[in-house]
Parts: sequence; C-alpha cells; structure tokens
Amino acid sequence: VSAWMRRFERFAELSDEDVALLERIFVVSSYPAGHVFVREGERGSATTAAMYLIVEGSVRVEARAPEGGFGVRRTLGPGQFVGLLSLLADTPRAATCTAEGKVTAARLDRATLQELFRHDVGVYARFQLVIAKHLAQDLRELGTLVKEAIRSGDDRAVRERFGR
Amino acid sequence: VYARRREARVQAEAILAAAVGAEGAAALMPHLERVPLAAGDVLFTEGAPSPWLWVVVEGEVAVRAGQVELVRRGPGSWLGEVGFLDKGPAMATVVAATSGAALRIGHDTLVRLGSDHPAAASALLRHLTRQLATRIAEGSAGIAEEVSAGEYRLRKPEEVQGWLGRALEQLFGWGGAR
Repeated sequence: VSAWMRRFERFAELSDEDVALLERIFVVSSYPAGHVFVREGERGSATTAAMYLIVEGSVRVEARAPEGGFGVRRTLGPGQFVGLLSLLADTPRAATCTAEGKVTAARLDRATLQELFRHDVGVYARFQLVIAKHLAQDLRELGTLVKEAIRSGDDRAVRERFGR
Repeated sequence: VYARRREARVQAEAILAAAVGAEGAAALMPHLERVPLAAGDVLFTEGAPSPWLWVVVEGEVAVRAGQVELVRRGPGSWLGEVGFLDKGPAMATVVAATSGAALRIGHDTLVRLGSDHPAAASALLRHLTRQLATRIAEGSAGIAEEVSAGEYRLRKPEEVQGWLGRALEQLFGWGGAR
C-alpha cells in the first residue's frame, strides 16, 4: 500500500517531505479477521507499546465494565487510530480491539517514535500536532455529548455510547 | 520595577517548567504572551472561537458552563486546550475571579513553532497530548463505570446533572484544582 497517508484528511497539513518520512517509519501490514491489536488491561512495555492507523477494513472496540457484561462497543474504520491513548498516556489498554474482517493497518511503536524525535524533531513535532488535534476533537465530541445530556437532563445518549 | 518584572518572569517560567520541564519552559517562554488580568476579565466565552492556550500564573479564574460556576483554578492551571488545538468554539467560559496574570499562545504561533522551533513546539505538544489522552481514557472509564452501575435505575434530571457534571470536570481537568 503506497501513498496511504494522503488518503486521510487529518494528515493534509503535512508537507510531502514529512509524509514521505512518516510513511517510511510506519509499518503497513495486513491482519487476518479476528486479529487482536490490543487487549484490555494489558500494559505495553516501554518500547513495545504501539499504535495503529487503520488503512482498510474495520476494527471492533470492546471493553468490559468491572461488574462484567457491559462494555463500550464501537467500530473503527479507515483513518482512525487504535491503541493511541495508552501509548501516549502510558495507561493500561482501555479496550480490546479486534479485526472484524481482513484489516490493513499502519503500525508505529514507541521506540520508533523516540528514534524519530532524535533524528528529526521537526517532523516529530508536526506529527505530534496532528495527534493533538485528533485528541482535541475526540475530547470535544465526548464533552459535547455530556453537556447536551446535562442540559436536557436525559442521559440516554451517553448510556448508549458507554453501555451495551 | 525591573526587579519585579524579572521576578514575575522567573515565577512564570517555573510554573511552565512544572508541566514541560525546564528546557521546554526556557524554549517556550519567548513565544508566550503575558496578559495581566483584572477581576471580571473574560479569557474566553463558551461557544465562541478561542484558538488560545492559557496558563494561569497569578490569581484565580472561574470556569463556567452555562450559568453554573464549575470550579476556580489558580496558578499552574492550563485552560482552553481543545479550542487552541482544533480551532473550534470554547467548551466553557473562563473569567478572571481576582486580579492576576496568565501566559497565552495562539494556534498560529504553535504551527509556526512546528517549523521554526520544533523543540519548543514538541515540548508543549508532549504535555498536551499526554494530558488529553489521560483525560479521555480516565473520563471514558469513569463514565462507563457509572453507566454500568446505574444501568437499571431511571435517573431524575438533577441526578443526571450531578453525575455528568463530575464527568465533565474529569474530561476537561476542571476539577481537582492544583
């Protein structure tokens, strides 16, 4: 898979040079249906923790609540990240992410990211900005959902997103 | 006057260093604007675009959503991260509750730093991405736990406001003043 990064809007602000370098350090592979990218509760070791960007296919996200039975269930598609939060925040994996069918994904691990920082801090910083914008949008979406429920006094939309 | 200004600068840099490290703070300081605050000054308004990141260095600010004051924050508080990064409307209103001062940096300056001073941009972004990722992860886990615990019970509107208000504070770091 070549020139995959340009398919996704979130990388639009990066220059061709930045994209070329980033495409070299992400490892694009094909994963079979049922492949588990990250498992809930696991903590990647300092250097093996990785994130994935879905290029083709879809990934199912499931998390169990402490009492069992309930969980966050979502499906992620092309252009979305898997395993990003725990890589950045160094927290245990919050959910189990499984390939729904055949999935093509670009993988980047922490060691490679650290190498990029030492090798070219400019590309590193501009990639960080892409990630930061993505997180801000995620937080905005979550905050808007919660604020709307507070305003209306009805938390059904929040339950739907976070319940079964 | 000069001695006082120097002292204020040293103090502001120390506050910044607590989040981004001494090296990061030194690299960032020249690109931050110091804004004096009087009680009642509005830093940003819920729903209006506000592509600025604020760091309180003196005095207190009040965070409001709708008509409700959620929390007061003092020196060392970072505010406005979401609108600063995605250039969308502010998620809350923040008003100076006392006189004081804050540092601020705009989105366009951040983008420029990404090319001209990447080490400075990187120090700031490392702190922000870590903070946002932690809040999304912990806030989501907290919400999921509450939803699971309250699954079979219908909630009254004021109960909804109570539990979701706490979730909102956790998501945006408005609770737990440092």
